[in-house]
Amino acid sequence: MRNPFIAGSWVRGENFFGRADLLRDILEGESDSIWVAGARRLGKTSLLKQLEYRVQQSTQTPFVPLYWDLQGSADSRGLADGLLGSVEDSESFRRATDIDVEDLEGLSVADMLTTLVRRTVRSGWRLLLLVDEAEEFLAVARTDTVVLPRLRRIFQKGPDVRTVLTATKRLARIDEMTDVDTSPFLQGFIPPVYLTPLAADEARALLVRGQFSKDEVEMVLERTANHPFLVQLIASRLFESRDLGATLDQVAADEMVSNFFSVDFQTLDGDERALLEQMARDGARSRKELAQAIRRTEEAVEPLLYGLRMMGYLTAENGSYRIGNWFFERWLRRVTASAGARPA
Amino acid sequence: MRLRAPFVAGLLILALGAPSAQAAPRSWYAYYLDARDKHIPAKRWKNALEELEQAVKLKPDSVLTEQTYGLNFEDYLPYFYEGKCHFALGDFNSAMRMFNIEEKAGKIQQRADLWKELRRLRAEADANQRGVDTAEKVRTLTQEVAKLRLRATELHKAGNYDEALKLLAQAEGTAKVLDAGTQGEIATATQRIRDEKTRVEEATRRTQRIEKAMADGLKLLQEGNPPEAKLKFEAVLAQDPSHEGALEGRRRAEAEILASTTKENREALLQQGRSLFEAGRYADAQRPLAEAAADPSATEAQALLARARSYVEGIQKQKEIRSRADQLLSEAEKLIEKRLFPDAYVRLGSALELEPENVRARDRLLSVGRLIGEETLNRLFPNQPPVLTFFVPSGEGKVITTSAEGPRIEVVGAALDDRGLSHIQFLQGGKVVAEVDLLDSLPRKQDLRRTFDLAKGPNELKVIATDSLGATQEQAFLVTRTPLIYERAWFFPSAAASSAAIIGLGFAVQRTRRRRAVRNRFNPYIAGAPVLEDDMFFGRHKLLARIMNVLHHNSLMITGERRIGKTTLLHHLRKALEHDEGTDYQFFVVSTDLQGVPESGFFDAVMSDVADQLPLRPETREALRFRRGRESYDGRDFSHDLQRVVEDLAVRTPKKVKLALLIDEVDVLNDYSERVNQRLRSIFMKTFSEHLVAIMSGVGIKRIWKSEGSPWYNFFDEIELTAFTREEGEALIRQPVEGVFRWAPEAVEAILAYSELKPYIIQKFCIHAVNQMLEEGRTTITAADVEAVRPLVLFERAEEAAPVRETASA
Repeated sequence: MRNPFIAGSWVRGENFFGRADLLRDILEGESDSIWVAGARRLGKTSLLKQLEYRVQQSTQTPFVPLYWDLQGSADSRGLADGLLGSVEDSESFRRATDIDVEDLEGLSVADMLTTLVRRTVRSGWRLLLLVDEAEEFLAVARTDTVVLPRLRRIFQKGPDVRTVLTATKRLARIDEMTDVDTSPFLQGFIPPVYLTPLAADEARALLVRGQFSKDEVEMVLERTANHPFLVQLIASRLFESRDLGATLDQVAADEMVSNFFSVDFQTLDGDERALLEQMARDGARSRKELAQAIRRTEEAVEPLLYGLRMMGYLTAENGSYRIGNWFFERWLRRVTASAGARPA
Repeated sequence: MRLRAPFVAGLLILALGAPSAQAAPRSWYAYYLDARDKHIPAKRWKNALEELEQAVKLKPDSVLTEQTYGLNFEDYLPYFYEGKCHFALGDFNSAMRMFNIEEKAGKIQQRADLWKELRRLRAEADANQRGVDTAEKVRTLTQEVAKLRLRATELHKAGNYDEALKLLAQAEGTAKVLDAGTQGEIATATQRIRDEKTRVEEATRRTQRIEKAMADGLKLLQEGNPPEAKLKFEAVLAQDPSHEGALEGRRRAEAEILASTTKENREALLQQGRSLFEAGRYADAQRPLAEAAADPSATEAQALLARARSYVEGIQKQKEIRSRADQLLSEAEKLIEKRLFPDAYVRLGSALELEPENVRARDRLLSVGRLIGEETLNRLFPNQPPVLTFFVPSGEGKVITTSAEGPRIEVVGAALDDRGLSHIQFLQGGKVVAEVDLLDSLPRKQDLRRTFDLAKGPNELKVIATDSLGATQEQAFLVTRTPLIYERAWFFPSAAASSAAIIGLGFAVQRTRRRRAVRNRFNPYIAGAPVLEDDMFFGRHKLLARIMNVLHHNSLMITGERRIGKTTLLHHLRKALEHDEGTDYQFFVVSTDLQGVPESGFFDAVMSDVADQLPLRPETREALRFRRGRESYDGRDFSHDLQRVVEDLAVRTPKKVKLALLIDEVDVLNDYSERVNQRLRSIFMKTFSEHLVAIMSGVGIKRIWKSEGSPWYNFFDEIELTAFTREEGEALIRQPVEGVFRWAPEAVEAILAYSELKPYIIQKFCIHAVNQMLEEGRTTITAADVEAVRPLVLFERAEEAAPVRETASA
């Protein structure tokens, strides 16, 4: 049997596990402006791909999906290029809306999007716009102050368009940028819906593919706190080696995993990082102790702790908080210790 | 008495004079012993050869302890001594031939000292002959290069630049195997001629442009269109500010404009021209500005007109350059198709002169240069057919005659060819019974092993090896099958004796094999080039299986230090993917090497390999945006084309299609902007990327990440290629020469320790240690051999170590 696990690439269909409530809320809920905030490698792209897939497979849906990856767009021209590429990539979208790529060539991104919405509605559908890597709007905002307000107006065009943005929490900084002086870009998208780690049952269902023992499965769940990337990575390597101890050690020492934590950690803001560092140094702590440690009020710390818990960075038990998964904790302890050891 | 005295004297004279007048013929041993004991010690090689040739005429067969005169017995080994003389005279081929004859006679082997000396001298003769061959080749090539350069100089002097450049292209291609100095001189001469050609062509074009603009200007004046005429004269003056005709023409045009316009008109025209200029419509702005600038006091109009004209001319010039470069590239492609490589080289050089950043032109120039070199080498040194050597059955000649007991015979040997072997055929009774296709790897050496079923009586067997250029070599065997031993009446009484004989035969076969291997300087180890042969691919089979097991769902990044075997692994991965059966997936593999690919040419380079390596349908090719020589080709074009490619592949198989991109030397991506890297990642986010996997390999990827989005590399699972395990290292040392040479255990231990189990270093040690052993005519590699070559290996290692690209964790 070939290795059934997928570490790194996006998944959909039979390879997608869990998130049933979130998918239903997005497709059947009332809100037409949704920001799904999640840490790196928690499955944001896969969520959008699954939404696209579900809608494409459904005969009852009012939506036509369009997946738009903003990665590398950098400016309004790049956004237009990426959007055009998305239309090119989705034959089903072109067929449903009777749009030709030539119709869009040369248009600005806002005009292009307006055209897409108009043509979708004219064809009797609603546009489900699935925007991946939405942090790229931060880069766009630095070079072009005009385009974002125009895009915001289209994103929030009511029932014609349902926009789902996925990004890390960094995206929140877009409304702090001084040169965006119109309505806040994320108005309507806030508060974000958090993309959490998998539920234990969902992670177990995924691990069934590897025909692992019950003890192995439980150990993987405990060490990864059901983080989907870590579950897939460990399962993939365990499938090859059949030696759980060695696999866990290998993943803990893996430079790629360390780099993933490092890049992910940088997406958090200063107070969030300080809270996690505190827990890495001192272990489980109450909200009050944490607030004192970073010199904030408990009320100020509460939303930070909530966000960190939802994204799987920490868990709460009996009123105290500790780091969510074993691998992240080990990495953060190492980093914190080496930073502490460094001469001032 | 007086009468008898003269008679006796006469008899004495006759008796004394007889030997000189009618000498008895010299015996074989007189010649032989004179040569061996007098001339050779005195280094009178030619005299010795003459004597030995006479001896051989009288007694052709070598023999031991042969009676000479009286009760003296001597070993008679004339060919050995002939070989020695030829060797001393520098005729290495004759020396080797004589040594081989002596060996075949089978007597000298019983004289240990002489047999050792023969093998040593033959190995030296072989090595020296190779040196002679190489020196001769270099001399021929040097003469050829000098001839081409001389003719190129003459043509250059005669102003025939293209022909001169063609010859220099040939010289450059030919000089690739010569010293760097010659190559540098040719490159300098080529550049000088190109510069001169560019200057002359530019001057011609300038004259033509001036003449045309003057003619147009005068015609426009006559037609009453002074503003356009003025623009034409301005264009001439931009080329030649003192051109009298143009100065006069402009004066007339301006006078006519002033006469036909008012100041208000001209101000309105200035305003119109300014607006057009500011809107970037420089060509449209020229005419109103030309009219407004007719007034000598209209300085703003004049300045704007000069700028507009400069922009328009700049754009026009760029267009001309692009069009000319495209034309040259297209001409070059046609010439390449016709195999007119030097002509294509000249065109490509000119295109590159026009557009130094044109990646396509540069790549094609390099490959055409290589083709020119190959063509010249093939012309000067025609391809030789492969060499076939057989250990079992052994023998010499076009047909090796042997007999076999039992229903089968195994033929074991090796085929060698410097241009690579393309296939091997095994024939029985004139019919092909088995064929080995080697086109994918074109190995220089291929082990041969085939068991034939034998009929009773004579059997005709044949092995034919064909090289990559179609040259063939064959070896025939006439094998007579005799009754099985146990079928014979005398079997049981002589069973014990037969067993002993079989064991002896086994030793003899092995001894023959070793002897041949020493003579042929058998050395199968490879260091430096990727290991393409399956039987030399060691230590990575487990990893390969692991990769094959995950690749249908995952893209991989294979990292590891230089020369750890990444390229070799990719090569064998490619083979494994191409032969992957029994799963739901059908892999289509494309290999790309990013070395030297600039950021602007990244997507173009990868798609170029996709188009080259996949058998796409013509309609798919037509639908691609990729065109050779196309100016810009970005991530969106790449994504578009990959979709078309995947659609094409999907109709070829009922299985799920996976296009596997094997991308080597991925470290160059570290020097690209994050944006291009992100564009690459975004391809893998597309829906069709379900049919796409990438396997990249390099020393390491830069992990410093500044952009807002996800790091580009995070869709890869990373695998680090490390040194071998001890068992893998030992297998690499022992298995390639198993059954041919012996490794002393201490020698193996020493290599494992010194090499730190790095495969490249292990191979280096093995190559040099085997050579060291061969030099001394032995068949066992000892620890002393390893120690002797250690400084050399370490020196080479230090020489080859290049600075490793800096990578860092964020």
